[in-house]
Amino acid sequence: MRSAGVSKQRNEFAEFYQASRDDCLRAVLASTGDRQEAQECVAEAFARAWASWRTVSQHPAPRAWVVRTALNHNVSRWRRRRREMPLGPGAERTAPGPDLGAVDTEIMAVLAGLPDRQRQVVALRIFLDLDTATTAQTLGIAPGTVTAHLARATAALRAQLNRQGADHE
Amino acid sequence: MNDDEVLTEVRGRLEPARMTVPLDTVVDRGRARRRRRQILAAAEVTTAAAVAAGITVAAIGPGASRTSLAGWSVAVQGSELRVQMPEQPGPHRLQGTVSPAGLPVIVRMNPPGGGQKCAHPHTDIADGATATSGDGTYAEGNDQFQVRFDLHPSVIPAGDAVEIILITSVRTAGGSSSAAIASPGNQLVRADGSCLPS
Repeated sequence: MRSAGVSKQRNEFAEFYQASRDDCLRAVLASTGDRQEAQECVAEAFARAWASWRTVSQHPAPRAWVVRTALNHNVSRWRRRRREMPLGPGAERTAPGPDLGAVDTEIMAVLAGLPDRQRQVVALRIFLDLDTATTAQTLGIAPGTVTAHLARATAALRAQLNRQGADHE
Repeated sequence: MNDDEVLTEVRGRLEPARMTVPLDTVVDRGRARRRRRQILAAAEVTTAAAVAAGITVAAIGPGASRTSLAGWSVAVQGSELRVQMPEQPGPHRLQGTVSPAGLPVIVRMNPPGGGQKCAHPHTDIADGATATSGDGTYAEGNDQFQVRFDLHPSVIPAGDAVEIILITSVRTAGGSSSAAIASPGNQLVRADGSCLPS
């Protein structure tokens, strides 16, 4: 006996997953720089969303909830690994992994050059189309700080992209 | 490049990134997580209630069948199952007692992640309904568990069963570990232990 209520919830979640998964992956990928890590973290975040779907579905920005949860999960995994293995100098930032597939490694390198918070702001604004207020709420920072981070990140990205363009010419 | 062009360029170059994890995998992970949460919540309630109330033993009324094992007391009356067990219970004894009584119950011990082994093993019961309701007490003094589950067969389809899960190590709020017994009463498993088709 599968209730109509459960089926309805499952259908709602399926629609949400199909519509949001790629954007959430790109947002987390832009923040973490590692495709496998990003996919694992996003899958875990969606699983948590399904486990608490009644709550998450009422969230004003469910996709932001998923990305925030995925980023938190990534930090937890990173801390766990740090306890398990000693890190050498410069090992704190996750380098782009070899499994980036069709993803442009040059743009990943450009994003990796941004400070963490700027990368997160860019990811939420670009891939989730969040407004300044929702981005600020998701990251737990002031709206003015979001604007400042986005302006600096955009300037840095422009400089890097122009440099790449000049190198290719 | 203006700001919009920069952001559009970045968006476009990450466009090929696609999530390859199937929906069913995500749903199964979420379901396992929900079950784990239900089990731990039930275990905490069980332990907390026992600590708060001391210890109580539900009386078994006339007409009940009773089975006594070493350190065990399992009583079945109608659709009611009452179990008293040692702190370190074993699933086979409970299963061996419950099955002949005709109760649609599957007993499992410390399932990994609190989840089920099958991809689609269970039936979700309609919101608000439950196949089991129960309470339990835990006595630290004599290391005995006493728990009562009321089964509600009317919501259990033929071929399905209630899953009762024994957990031998639950960390309580006080930091100590104990055993627990729980049943996610709004989910069912196949009575024969097989998996439903994906």
